[in-house]
Parts: sequence; structure tokens; C-alpha cells
Amino acid sequence: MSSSSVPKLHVTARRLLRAGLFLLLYGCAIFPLQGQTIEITGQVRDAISLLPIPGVNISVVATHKGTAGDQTGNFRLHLDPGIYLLRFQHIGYFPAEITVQVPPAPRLEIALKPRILVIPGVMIESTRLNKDSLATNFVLTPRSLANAPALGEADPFRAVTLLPGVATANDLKGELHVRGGSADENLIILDGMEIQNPFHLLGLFGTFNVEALQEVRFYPGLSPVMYGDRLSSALILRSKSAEEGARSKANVSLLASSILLQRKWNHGGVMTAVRRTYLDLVARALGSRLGYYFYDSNLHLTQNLSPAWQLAVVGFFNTDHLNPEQTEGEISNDPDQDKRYRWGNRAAALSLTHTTKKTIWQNQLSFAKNYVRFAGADANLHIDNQVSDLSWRSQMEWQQEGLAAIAGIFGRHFTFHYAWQSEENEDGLEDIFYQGIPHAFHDTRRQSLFGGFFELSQTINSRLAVRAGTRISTMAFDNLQLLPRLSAQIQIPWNTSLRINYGENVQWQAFGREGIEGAVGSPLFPLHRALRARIWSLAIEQDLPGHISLSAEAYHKKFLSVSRLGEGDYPSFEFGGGKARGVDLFVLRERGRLTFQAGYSWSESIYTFGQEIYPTDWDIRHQFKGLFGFSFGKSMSLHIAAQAHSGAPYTPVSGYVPIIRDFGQGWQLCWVPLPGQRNSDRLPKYMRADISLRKRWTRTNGNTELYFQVLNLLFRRNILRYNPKIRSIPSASGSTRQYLYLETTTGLPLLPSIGIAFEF
Amino acid sequence: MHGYYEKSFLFILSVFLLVGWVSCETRIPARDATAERVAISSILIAGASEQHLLMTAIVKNIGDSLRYVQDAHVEVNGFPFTPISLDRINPQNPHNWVTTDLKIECGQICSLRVLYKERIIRGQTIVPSSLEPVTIKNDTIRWHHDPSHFGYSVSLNEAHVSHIGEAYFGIRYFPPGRYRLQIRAYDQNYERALTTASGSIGLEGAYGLFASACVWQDSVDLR
Repeated sequence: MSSSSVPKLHVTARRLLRAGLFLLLYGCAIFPLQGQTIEITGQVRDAISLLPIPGVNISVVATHKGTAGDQTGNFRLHLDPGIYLLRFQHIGYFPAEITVQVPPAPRLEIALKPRILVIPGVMIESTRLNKDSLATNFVLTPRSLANAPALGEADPFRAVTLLPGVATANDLKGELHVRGGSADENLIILDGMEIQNPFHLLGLFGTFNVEALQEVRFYPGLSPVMYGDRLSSALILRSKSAEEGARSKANVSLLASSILLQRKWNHGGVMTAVRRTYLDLVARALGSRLGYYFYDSNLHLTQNLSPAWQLAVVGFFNTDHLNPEQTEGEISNDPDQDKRYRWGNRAAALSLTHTTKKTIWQNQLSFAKNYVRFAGADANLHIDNQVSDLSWRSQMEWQQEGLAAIAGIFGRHFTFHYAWQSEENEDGLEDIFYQGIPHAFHDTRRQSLFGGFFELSQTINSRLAVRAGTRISTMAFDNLQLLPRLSAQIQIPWNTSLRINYGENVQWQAFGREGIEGAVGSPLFPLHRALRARIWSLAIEQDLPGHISLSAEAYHKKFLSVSRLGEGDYPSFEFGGGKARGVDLFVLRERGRLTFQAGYSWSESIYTFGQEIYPTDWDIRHQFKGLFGFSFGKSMSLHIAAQAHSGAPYTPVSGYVPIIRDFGQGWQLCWVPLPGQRNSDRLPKYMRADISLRKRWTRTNGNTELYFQVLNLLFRRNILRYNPKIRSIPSASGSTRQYLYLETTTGLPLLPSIGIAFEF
Repeated sequence: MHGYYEKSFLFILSVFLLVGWVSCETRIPARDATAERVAISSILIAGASEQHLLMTAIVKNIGDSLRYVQDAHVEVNGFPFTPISLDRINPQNPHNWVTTDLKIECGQICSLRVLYKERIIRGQTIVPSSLEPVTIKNDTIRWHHDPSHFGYSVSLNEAHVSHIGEAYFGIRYFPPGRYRLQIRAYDQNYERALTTASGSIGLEGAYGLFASACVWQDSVDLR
């Protein structure tokens, strides 16, 4: 052994010793943390609504670790000690990242900011075990609303008619019939305010400006427990709040132009949108006259008073103006000869919300008025109708892991004021206003409703969630109605879930007019007894590969009490019963270059009044409908909406009664059509296809989008109604011969339109 | 892939079971369509020398001709009507029953009774009360309004004026001269026939109209 090798070994040993000692010390230092990962918990909420977001994807950046939030937005994540970057992602929201250091074990409260989805096709909410998803509901974003081809402007009602279970009486009437229910059985809520008759253009076009909407949620069966007093469906619209960095937007189409302005500040913001048709202005510039226009406007102001308290003011105003004198020819300088018809809505609400980690307490006071007015000097026709609704609601939402509760109380006071007088039919205008009801009517009625609601939702485990609740509604402390709600959702294998719903709805008001197309808001009357329906539904939903989801829902709705206009003094209501049942099948592909939603609905809707049993006017047995979208690159999309359904029922003429009338200088034989068995015949089948082509350019200061739409592309003359008519023709002998024929009312012609929207 | 088809099959099977569960058609009872339906139409005119009535079967199809009912017993307030020969029926007077015995006065109640194939058809009308006094003043003709008046028609020299609801009529734009003025007041049944599409007014057991009118007529000088 040489002497030189000893120092080398010594040095090596010392190095090893030092390394070993270091490792030992390091190991001792970290040993208590090794094998004892730290649990991080937290909850993810919507930054605007503060509601929990279920199923958020949480990943630890630069690692393979991650987890997903549960149905109440809560999550748990186990991490070794260290510093990590967590990323939170969910469809429909901007992703968020946060740096955490463990230990300690922090409790994280994450708020994700919602964004408008740029996914072609109607975005349908997937199966969710939150308190809302236990009732079937569809969520439509502004983008998906715009995808549905409509008359000039995007229309939420048009998009909703492409969903299963929804029927419209015809092209010229926007009122919805949902799962066998009549048009007055739909609850339409904008920011907590109930809006009556939300239509422009005599029912042809919805009154909500899509640009001002954040979200439309449609419940074809049981509505959320806080809303009610309608038998068949609920359409809940939420207007936009001002967003950080969001741009203002303008839209110009053949029908109307609109502008959306929004401004955000530290603790609040304001959004306002205005839309107006301008064909009257164009006609005037061209030397012609068109005496019709409408406008609507939205306002949404929010202000955070403190981290917990938020104040919101919302407003909604819309008016249709019709001046037949301007349209029909010479305009008179005499103001006494001017005839102006106006109808629309005025609504405003004040809302105060208090939010804590587990509770949201909201108070809202709102006033909404729907009116129809004829202001002119001509005494032959006078209309002054209005329905006003002053309401207040206070509710508390409470959530803890897997458990959620909601409770509240409400009070509403309605005033129904009607005054109309019509001596004769002026150029058919009387038909627009309440055909088939008395020529003169004057009445003021009031109705007060009170009640409360309570609902408890429990996610028992990852496969089962249940919900139970009740809504109490009473009219002036009389006729108390207790309405149960029960739901359960079970996850079974194969990505399939079953959902069972049972509940009852009540309604205290009804339309005082038989529905026809092309009519302004129908008069709504308070009832002395409640209408009531009992609803069962069973749904199956399955997710298939390729982002395709299938769903089928069978429902049975028993009308314990429904009303119709009777023969007595107007408005005399008869009460009967009935039932509606059916199946809605739905297939959806919401991602990819090719998107589609397609549905088939079978339904049956029967009314029973005494011995008379008949299918309702909207008893459309078979409906196929679809919305197909194709993306050409990232900036261009084509959407085709197609509908085909069996004909709506109508009452055939069983004969004609010859009646002699006295015309002063002689007798004349007239014919009165005699109705046959009610709704015993059907119109021919209905088919329609619409397309929409959109091209978007992205600029540094905002996007510009050009769109082209064609309604009724196949130019099909769908028959909407038969009208027995008598035509007089002079005979060779000089006398007049009358003959009878069936006049048909047909649907929309081929209607192209073009428009442009740009941000600034 | 095998599992995928199995799942889809089960899903589709479930859907068909649901469809079968709810798709039983409701049976709606049909009406008895065997009974013959008849129509009666008559407007009794107070003071007229003849009263007329039309009795036919319901016309079922467009283009069918009228089938007159001649084999019935028709009476108003006990005064029988007699059938008119079919070759005498013309568009100016399309009735097929007539009586000259019945004298009707304004304000009277008239009851119709028809026996036809073991069926009894009844009708009733309250003849509007008198229109007098009729005055012409300040370019306006005015007459007495009574609650039994539900509508009026005015004719000047056979120039018919449309149905009106008020008990006055402006003559400002008529050139001066002598006119044959006739004012008719109608009962509630006739008013209903003008404003509703009901197939049976003032009748039980038949479709049609049983109404009445009170007439005032005279020659007047307009200045």
C-alpha cells in the first residue's frame, strides 16, 4: 500500500461522510413531511352569480396531478409540500391560475369569470347534479341564440322553438306551447321580473334583444321553486352585467339596429342596450310611408356596496307604434285624425344581494306593466288596457358540501285594467285587437298573491342526488295551494343517468281571448279559482363518444283544472280538465366542426270540458326539428334549422246555415258556417328550413361579423288556418249569387335578410 | 366496440319502452251524425202585411243547393204558415213559408213552434218597441231609443245605410229634396246574428235565426 493512496481514501471517505451526513440531516428534516401529503380544499364559484360551478377541472401545472370539483363546486387535492401553480378550467369560463404553498393547508375560494362560448350550435347544459339540473333545463348563450336563423334579428323565442317539446301554433304567432300547455301557461322572467306578452310585430317577433342577454334558461317542465304560478314552463332570462374589458357592440340588420354599451368600474358597472327598427325612417327618406316601428331597451346597473353586499337595478322598456293612417296613404295634418296604437312593456327592479361563503340572500322589488293603447280622436275605436304587477321576493340560498337549501317568501299585487270600445271594424284593425270578444268592455280587477317556497337538495354520493321541496301559493289568503316537488337523479353505468321528477304547478290567471295569429297582447284576467297541473317525468341521458349526448324524457301532465272562455258575459271562464303526455328525444353534438342538435317529440294534449273531449289547438303529435352547424375554419359558420311536424288540429265546417238578412230594400240569403266536432280534423303537415351564414373578422379593436339569413328557404306555403268565407258574385240575371269557399292563411314567405355586428 | 353497441341497444330499447308507455291514443267519442239538421230563418217585421220564414236542411258541402223543407207545421203565436210553391221562390224573396194572418206590433213577444218529423222546434223574439217620435232637426234625424232596440238601419229612397248603433243619423250631405225615409230597429237576436258566428240564435231544436224588427217609414223633406 503506498502512502499516497491513504490521503485519497481519506478524502473520499470524508466526502462520503459529509454527503451521508447531509443526506441524513436532510432526510431527518423532511421525514415528518414525507408520506404525509397536505390536503388542499376549496370551492369554485361563478364570479357573477356566485353560484358553485360543478365539475371544474383542477390541474397542478408541471405535474401529472389534478382533480375535479364535485357537484357543489368543492374540491380536495393532496399535494406534497412545495410551491405549486394550480390551474382551474371549466367550459364556459375563463381559466384561472393561482400559486399556493404547502404547508400550510389553505382553503381556497376561486371565482371563475364566465365567457361567451364561441362554439357553434346551441349549447345545452349537460347533466348536472346541482339543484337546478334535477329539473330538465336548457341553457342558451347569446352565441347559441344567434345561431338559430331568425327574422333579421336573433330571437330567443325562435331558438327555444327548436328545442324538443316546444310547439308554436303557426309561423305568425310567437307564443309557445310547451309539452301540451297553452300559451298563457308559460312563465317568462327577465332578471326576476315577469314579462307579459313579450312580442313585437303582432306576435311575430320576440321582444328580447339578444345582445343584452347573458343567458337564457328554459325549463319545459317543472320550474325552479322560487318561480311559479304558471302551469307548463319557465323561460328565465338574465341580462348582461358589465364585464371587465368587454367591448361595446353595434348591430345593424334589415329589420333593426341596436347598440350595446357597457362600462365597468371598481365596484360596479352598467350595461345598456337599445334597439329600434328603422324601416319607417327609410321609407320616409324614400318618400314613402310606413307607420310602424318598435324599440326596446335594457338597463343593468350593479354596484358592490361592500364585499358582501351588492345592489342591482334593472330596467326593461319596449314599445310598438302603429299608425295606420301613415301607412295607408295621405297623412292628415289634422291631429284629430291621427290614429296611433301603442303596446309594450315597462319593467324595473331593484335587487339587494348579500353573499357569504355559504349563503346568498336576495331581496327584490319589481314593477312590470304591459299595456295596449289606442290614442286617437276617432271615437269608433278606443283601447286603454294595462296589466301591472308589483311584486316583492326575498330568498335565501344556503350551501354546504353536498347539501343545498333554498327558502323564501313572495308577495304580488296585480291590477288588470281594460277599456275598449269598437263600433265597427276599421279596415280589419279590430281583428288585430281581440277578435271574437265584445266590441265594448270596461273593467278593472285586482288580485293579490302571497306565498313561500322551500327546497332541499342533497347529493348523497357520486351516483345519487335527491331534491324535495314545496311551493305555497295563495290568493289573498284564500284558496291555499300546496305544491310539492320531488326529484331524484341516479347515475347508472355506461355514462347514463336516470332522472325522475314529480311536481305540481298552479296558475291564477288566464287569457281572455281565443288565440289567432297576428294579434297584440291578449287580455289576461284573474281567475276566482286556481288552475292546477300535476307533472311526472322520467328522463334517461347518455354520453356517447365523439361529444355526442342522447336524452329521452317521457312526461305525463294531468291538468287538474284548466279554463277556456265560456258563453256567458265576457270574460266568463269555464273550468275543465285534461292531460298532456309525450316523449322528447334529443341528440346533441356541441363540439367540433360539425355540430347538431336534433329532436323528435311525440305529444298528445287533450282537454275535457263536461262531456266534450277534444285535442287542443296545439296538439301537434309528431315533431322533428334540428339545428345543424358547420364551421369553415375559425371564422365562418353555416347553420341550418329544419322543422317538420304533423298538422295542427282545426275544427272543420260540418255545414252551412242559410240565414236571411234584412238589408232594408230587400232580403238577402247569407251563410253561416256551422262548426263540426271540435278539432276533429288536421291541417296538412308543416315543413320549413332556414339557414344562417356568418363570417367573422377579428380586428385588434374588436370583432366584426357579417351574417346572412334566409327563412323558409324551400319557399313552402304552409297552411296555418282555414277560414270559411262567402263570396258574392253577380249573376247574368243581375242578382247576386253567393258561394262558399275555404280561404287559407299561409305561413311566412321566403324571407332573406342580412346584417352586420361589430365591436368597438 | 362491442360494449358501445350494447349500450346503444339498451338505450334505444329504453326509449322505445318509454314511447310505448305513453303513446296509447286517447279515444274521442264521435258525435251522432245521423240526425237530420234543419235550419230556420225568419225576421218578423212589425206592421208588414206578410210574414215570411225559410226552412231548409243544413247545406253540408260547398256548392250544394238548398233543400227546402215543405212538410212541416209552422206557426207563430198560433197563426199557421203555409208553404210557398218552389217555383215562386226567388232571390229577392228567398223564403218558402208565408202567412198573411199574423199581424205583428212593435213591443210584442212572438213565439215560433214548428212540428217536423216528430220534433218540436221552438223560437222566441221580442219585437222592438216603437221608434216614435222621429224628429229632423239640425241636419240630424233622431228617434226614440228603447232598451229593446239593439241596432238600427236607415234607408233614404231605398239607398240603404249600414247598420248603426245610435238613435240618430246625420243627413248633412244629402241634397235637399223629398225622400222616402225608413228606419228599422232590430231585436237582440238579429244583433247577435250580425256580431257572432253562432249557428243558432233565438231557436231551440234547429239552427238559424228567429228575429224581428220594428219599422218606421214616411216621406220627408230635407232642406
